[in-house]
Amino acid sequence: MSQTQPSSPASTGSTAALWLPVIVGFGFAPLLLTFFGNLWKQPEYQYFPQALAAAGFLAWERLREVARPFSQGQPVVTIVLALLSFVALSFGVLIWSPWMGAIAAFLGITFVLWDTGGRDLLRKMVPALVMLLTIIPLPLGLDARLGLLLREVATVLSSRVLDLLGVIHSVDGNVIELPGQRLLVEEACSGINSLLFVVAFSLFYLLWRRRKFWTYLIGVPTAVACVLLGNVVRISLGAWLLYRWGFDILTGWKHELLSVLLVIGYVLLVISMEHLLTRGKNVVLAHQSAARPRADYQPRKRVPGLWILAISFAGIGVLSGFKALAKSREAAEPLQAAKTAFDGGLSIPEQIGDWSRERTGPPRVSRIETLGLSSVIWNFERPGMNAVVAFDYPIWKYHDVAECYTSTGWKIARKELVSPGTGKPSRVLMDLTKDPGVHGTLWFGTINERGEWVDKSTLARNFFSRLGLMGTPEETTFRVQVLVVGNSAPDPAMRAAASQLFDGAAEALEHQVRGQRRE
Amino acid sequence: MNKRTGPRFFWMDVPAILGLALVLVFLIALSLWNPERVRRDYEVTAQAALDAGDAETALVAGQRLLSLGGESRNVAILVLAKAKLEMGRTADAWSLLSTVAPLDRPVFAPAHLFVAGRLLNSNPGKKRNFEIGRQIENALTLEPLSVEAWELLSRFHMQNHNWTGAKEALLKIVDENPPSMFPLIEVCHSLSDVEGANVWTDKALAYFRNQFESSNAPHEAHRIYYCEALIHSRNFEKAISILEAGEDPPSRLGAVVYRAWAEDLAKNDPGNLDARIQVLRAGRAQFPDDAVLRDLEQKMNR
Repeated sequence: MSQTQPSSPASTGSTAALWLPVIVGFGFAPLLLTFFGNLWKQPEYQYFPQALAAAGFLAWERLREVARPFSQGQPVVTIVLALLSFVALSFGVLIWSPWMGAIAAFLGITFVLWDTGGRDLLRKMVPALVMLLTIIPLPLGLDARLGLLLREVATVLSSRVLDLLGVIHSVDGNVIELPGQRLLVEEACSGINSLLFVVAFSLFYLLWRRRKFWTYLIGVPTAVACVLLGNVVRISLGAWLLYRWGFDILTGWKHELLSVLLVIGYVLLVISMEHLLTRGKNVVLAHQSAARPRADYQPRKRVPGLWILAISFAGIGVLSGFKALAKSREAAEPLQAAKTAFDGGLSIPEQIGDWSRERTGPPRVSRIETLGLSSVIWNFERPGMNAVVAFDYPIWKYHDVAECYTSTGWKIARKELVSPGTGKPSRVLMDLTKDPGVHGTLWFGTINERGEWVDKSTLARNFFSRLGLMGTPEETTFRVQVLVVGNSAPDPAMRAAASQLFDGAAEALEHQVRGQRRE
Repeated sequence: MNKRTGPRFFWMDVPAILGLALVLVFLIALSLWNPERVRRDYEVTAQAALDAGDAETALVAGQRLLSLGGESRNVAILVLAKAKLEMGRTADAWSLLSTVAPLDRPVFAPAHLFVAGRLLNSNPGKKRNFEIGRQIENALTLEPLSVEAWELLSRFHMQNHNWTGAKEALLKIVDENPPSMFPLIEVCHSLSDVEGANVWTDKALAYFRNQFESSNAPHEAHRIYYCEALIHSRNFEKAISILEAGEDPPSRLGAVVYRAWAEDLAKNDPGNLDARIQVLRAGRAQFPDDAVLRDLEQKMNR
């Protein structure tokens, strides 16, 4: 009885195994490039190149352990995975959602792995896939919410530590006030940046060391707890040093240096924790577990129509390439370019209606209520009223300024979109209150870099706007805010006066944004 | 990968052990955090800062008290208002005070008394009198036995020359607050009740002498009250000797004694100029910067 030689089908399979990922991958390229571009703009995800490298390393290491030739997976599963990926990619291209593109790519990788090597290959590639998952942001803005939550937790815990250290202070949202000084607990202090990196690193390290599941259950939460604690220590120590000796370690290069030292500390901690948990036991090394050639190889026919689907992926890729090109043409200037363009160049009239600008000049300050890269703030006054006007720029992605105010202790009593018509921009009106008995009225509007006022994305908080799926929330925008604070509830006269100031400020900003575009 | 076990590799465990120890210490420290104790500490800190005129510290302490919530809320608002007044942010301060000391209902007695006292010290016109009266009334509704409230009410009546009302208010608290005997003596004089004034003078003298003499190391307040009682009983010489035995430099009350002595001589023995000149010279020697004594001496010289 003669044995069937796998050479012929295997060689066909290996050719397919080479070309299929290339053709499918081409379909994802435009959206994925946009996705990575977007990730790079977010400091908390800037570790993604290392995460990709780690995923590649894990994949390469585990690939050696899969018996050759590969045994393809069940065709039904291949088709289901391929279709899911295709639908996700098509939807992503249709609504131009890089995040959806990343999900589709993840499904696509799974589909190619399954098709190429079936269950054995996919199982071995799970560590690499887990690493890939760490760079896909949580949907619905949950990562931003997590950042705010961490900041809140860090502030509250730091406050308790400061109580124990005898530092007189108060907490106002994410601001720690010391006598005569204010400490802003900024995003960098929230720990979100370190947290995502440390979670990814601890996962990588445990996966690389091939530890048992229970070590993940202890190791990763411990790393998370240490990051939180590290930030509490950083904030408390900073406040204590500032309070006792006026020594500031929370700004400038000292802050940066401390951040780097903390991250090094976390990495050492993860490595050490793994050693402590496993008592340094040996791991099964790749070369020791390298698979022998498969003797029971049963070649399977390529799933019918798979090549058609693969070519469809490529077709979507061509379409999305054109769309990406168009998007890049209409997209806003890079953030830093916008920042550079406006730094020192924004101005506002000295007189708007019966409002006069205070002569103290526009201080360039970093305010907790703004998440733009920069803010320029002016103080205005009129008989019996004072107001603050701020231009925040450049803002990228959907950002609801209400969250900034609630995080600093304000409560929103009313929020509505006001469209005055007659060529004036729509603006959002918010009535705010703060204990004890402080009332605020905030008017704000957002203009994109083409000089068009954007209202829906600043007000709507529905599912799609949060996903960033609809509208134009991912363009670069500039915001104007007018805040009037008083001791009594705002009356119609006060509102009218604030609205007049908003109109003047908005007109000034629009003029400058359009002027900048022309240049 | 080599096996990394045994004592040689213990150093690899050190960061994890340190990290876990730090987490443990942190958890223990957090379990020691007691909001009640923090609240009490901040109440003391806020009051101390206000007493020291450190408005910024008081402001921060007040904000912290406010965030701790609970029973300290009214205290916190009052602290914030006082701190803002100190910083010149009067509109903010009065807005805060209107929440803890409204006119139309009693809310927080110390705030009502603070507002009443503040208004009383600002030489109010008749228009403000209604407001002061209501504030004290609100405080008394909340704390009917408040010495501070009755004392303030007596001051309010005295300022309005309502001597009977002032006497009634002072009689309510004089047992609990013996220093109230002094304004009571003044009120009796204003009512031309010489007998009453003498009775309260004798009582004050007996009480404060006893207080002063019964303690081995007399408290400075006892010395001053005793001295004041001696002034009312016109025993100026003894008042001076009691004060001189006290703290160094002598209390400013000494100048008051010399003034009162000189005025008493002018009233009761106008012909005895030598005695008056001697008293004034002695007073000037002790308190050369006292403007009243200087004026009196210049007047005498003329």
